[in-house]
Amino acid sequence: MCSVGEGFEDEEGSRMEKAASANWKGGKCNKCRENDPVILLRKKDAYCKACFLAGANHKFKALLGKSKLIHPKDRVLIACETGHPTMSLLHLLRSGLDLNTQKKLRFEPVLVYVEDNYHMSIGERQRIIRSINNETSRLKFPLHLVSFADSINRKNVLISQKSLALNRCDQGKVNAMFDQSINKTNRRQLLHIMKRNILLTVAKQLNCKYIFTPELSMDIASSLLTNIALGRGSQVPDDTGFCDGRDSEVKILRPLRNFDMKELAMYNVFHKLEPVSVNPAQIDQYSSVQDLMSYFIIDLQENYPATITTVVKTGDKLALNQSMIAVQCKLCQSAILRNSKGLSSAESTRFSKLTSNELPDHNVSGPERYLKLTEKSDHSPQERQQYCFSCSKLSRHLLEEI
Amino acid sequence: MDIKLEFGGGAELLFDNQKQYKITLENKKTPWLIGDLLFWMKDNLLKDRPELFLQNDSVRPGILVLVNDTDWELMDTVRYEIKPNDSILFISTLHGG
Amino acid sequence: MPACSTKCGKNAILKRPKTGDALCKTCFFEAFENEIHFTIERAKLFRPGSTVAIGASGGKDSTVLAYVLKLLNEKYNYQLKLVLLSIDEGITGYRDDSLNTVKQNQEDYGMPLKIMSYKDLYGWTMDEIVAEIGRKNNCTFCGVFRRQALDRGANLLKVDYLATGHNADDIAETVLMNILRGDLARLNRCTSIITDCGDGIPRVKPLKYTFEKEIVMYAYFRKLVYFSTECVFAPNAYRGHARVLLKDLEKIDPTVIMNIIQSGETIKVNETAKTPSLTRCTQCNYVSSQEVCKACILLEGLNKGLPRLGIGKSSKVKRLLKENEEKNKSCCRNDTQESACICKANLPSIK
Repeated sequence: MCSVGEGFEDEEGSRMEKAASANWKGGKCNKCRENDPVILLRKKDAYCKACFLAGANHKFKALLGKSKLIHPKDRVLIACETGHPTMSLLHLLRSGLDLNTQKKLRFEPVLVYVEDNYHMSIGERQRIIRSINNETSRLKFPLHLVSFADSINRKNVLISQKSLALNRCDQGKVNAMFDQSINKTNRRQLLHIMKRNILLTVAKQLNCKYIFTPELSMDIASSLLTNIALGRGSQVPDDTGFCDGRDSEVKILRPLRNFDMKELAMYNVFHKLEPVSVNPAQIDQYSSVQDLMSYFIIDLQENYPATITTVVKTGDKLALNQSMIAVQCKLCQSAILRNSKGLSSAESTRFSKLTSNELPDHNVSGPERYLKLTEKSDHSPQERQQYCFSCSKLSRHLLEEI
Repeated sequence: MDIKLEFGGGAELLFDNQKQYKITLENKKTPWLIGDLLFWMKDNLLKDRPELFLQNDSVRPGILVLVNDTDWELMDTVRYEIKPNDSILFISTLHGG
Repeated sequence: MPACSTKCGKNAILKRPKTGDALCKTCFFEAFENEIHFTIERAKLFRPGSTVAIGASGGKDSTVLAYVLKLLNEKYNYQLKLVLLSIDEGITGYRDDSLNTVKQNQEDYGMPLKIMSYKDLYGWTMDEIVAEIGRKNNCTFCGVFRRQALDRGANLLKVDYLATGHNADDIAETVLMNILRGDLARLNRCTSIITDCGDGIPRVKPLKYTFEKEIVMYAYFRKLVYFSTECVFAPNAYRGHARVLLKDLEKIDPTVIMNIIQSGETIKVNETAKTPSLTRCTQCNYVSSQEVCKACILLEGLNKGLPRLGIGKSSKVKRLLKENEEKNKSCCRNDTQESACICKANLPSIK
């Protein structure tokens, strides 16, 4: 049956503008109105080189300044990755630090690269580390190196500065964390959580109060949808907002979340910066929820250029749910939801699991069978209280306790 | 017609790891549009993973194109008419973590 | 097929997408029905002794809903009076067959049936509307009219509840769509199992946690008669993207549907997000967030041969409305033109 019309009043024509091609009508730079533009953003905003670069710088500083979180002399851990965003971030930091004006950045960036390329050859992994080292030294930043495979679940992480010990068995070490039945979605989600935990440990060891990640708007949008699909709706503000404040000592910030890839790639071109490149793996969008969401959002963006910004803005308007209890999830540190009155999806799923596995006793009446089921369902196992809804499903696949 | 092609951001990995090419386009009846150049590159230069560079009649989303340091989206993209000594830069944003 | 997961000894006839377990026919029926009873009981959907109108389209969701509600009503003694409520949009081919199915349901389940038609309610069938405005915005018309038709029907029948066949897939899809569109007001409400639109008759969704695939299988194994065809007019383009996404997600892991609903239920929107306040339409008294409800606006446009009136942002509509009002001030005095006059109410008032 057609389901149109199920909104509160009507479907005020879900007006997302479909753009077949660029909406630019020609003319001079949007900002200074003097120079000829050299870049078109979001299919409609044209800028000359100077205005574009100034705008990027301003956007970066404004987001940091607005939060009023970072104070002079604070140490900030920069989580480096391959690709354009990290390159731009480092250059933005370097130019901000080198300024001799009021607007100079006054905190202290500390760089780390968490090496998790264990699926590649040793040669390739070494090349990547060398390249990152070259680029960071060129921008006059010392670099710390950490091995992901050797750091999972460690209370203390080995941090090197010159080189990193890479082993062929690193892939095996990571695989040993999970049971055989785990699917790619859950595996990727667990790896993501583990990486977050490693970064927090490194930050504490290096005396940093903040962490910067190079996540872009498309990463935020894709991450938001993934979170929804994994049952992490209540955690979206922490997982995708500007600030992830779950840890009591270290806050994770996302200063690039309002930038898109084209902006930063062009920033790099204009500043003659070469990012560290890796060969992308074959993308199969059906192999995991994360791959699907990433593919979906980029694909939809092509036809509806407001998609990513709309999703990011939706995330911005979400608040942390106050009906949480004080217990933090053992895996992701999110506050765990109190049992709601009424019925929740989680409860319904639990009941379904029961009805599908309990041996029905046909000697008693239907209603009596039902009563037995609800009695069983109401006595929930204690383990549930250690993890949030989403992580409790993941925890079953972990072979080693966190 | 002589033009210069440049690659960055990892795009060079698709073109034999070479960052610069000086090429000569043979004269043809209709003017050379960038769209035509893309097909030419596919036949003559593209060494690896064509799906990372081309999609339908244009570049794959994630590949940025600059003509003489200007965004090709300001110049009608695939319909831009190539002039002698033009410098066309292809930047990949797909080669990162 | 492996053995039934309950270890009852019988062979499984399906692998249920909701949990991944294999079930035999008897255990599947029992699980399916028990879960709906659990939903009704825990969410306290109905007060005993109430009258419930079931929105019946002849499709699988409403047919299964009617069947199961009747079954559970008897088994667990809900003491409900059940009645079928069906809408005739006047779409040739699509509606004729589905209405016949609903009439069949009426006979099979022994429930009274009330049919409300767009023609009776609004003076136009969808076929006539499309002939007038083409296929671009016809879904807006149909959506507004259908929603109001169900409410007006429930009002006329003086029932206590209106039950619709929205299933888990529908709700998950709506959550995704509202995120993609940035519609926070709807995102906040769309996972509610009971929605009160302000005029007293709550809408409930007993199938909220029931998977579409399982509804299809249940209908098949219970040999229930239903009608399934896509509406012949083009569906809402944006919802289509959310639907494709949901189907793709199902391929990867069907339990994602419950996860999305869980997310929708636990999401919290900032207090500052604007939600519309409610009033009553000055023309027909229907509950609306505007002075004149959408149906009245759309109808006015149709009757005056101005079909673009009412599509798009409200403020623009208000402006057009005002312009027309000015134009019509002279018209009212002319008795022979009353059928085109804005002053003439096109809709029966809601008490």
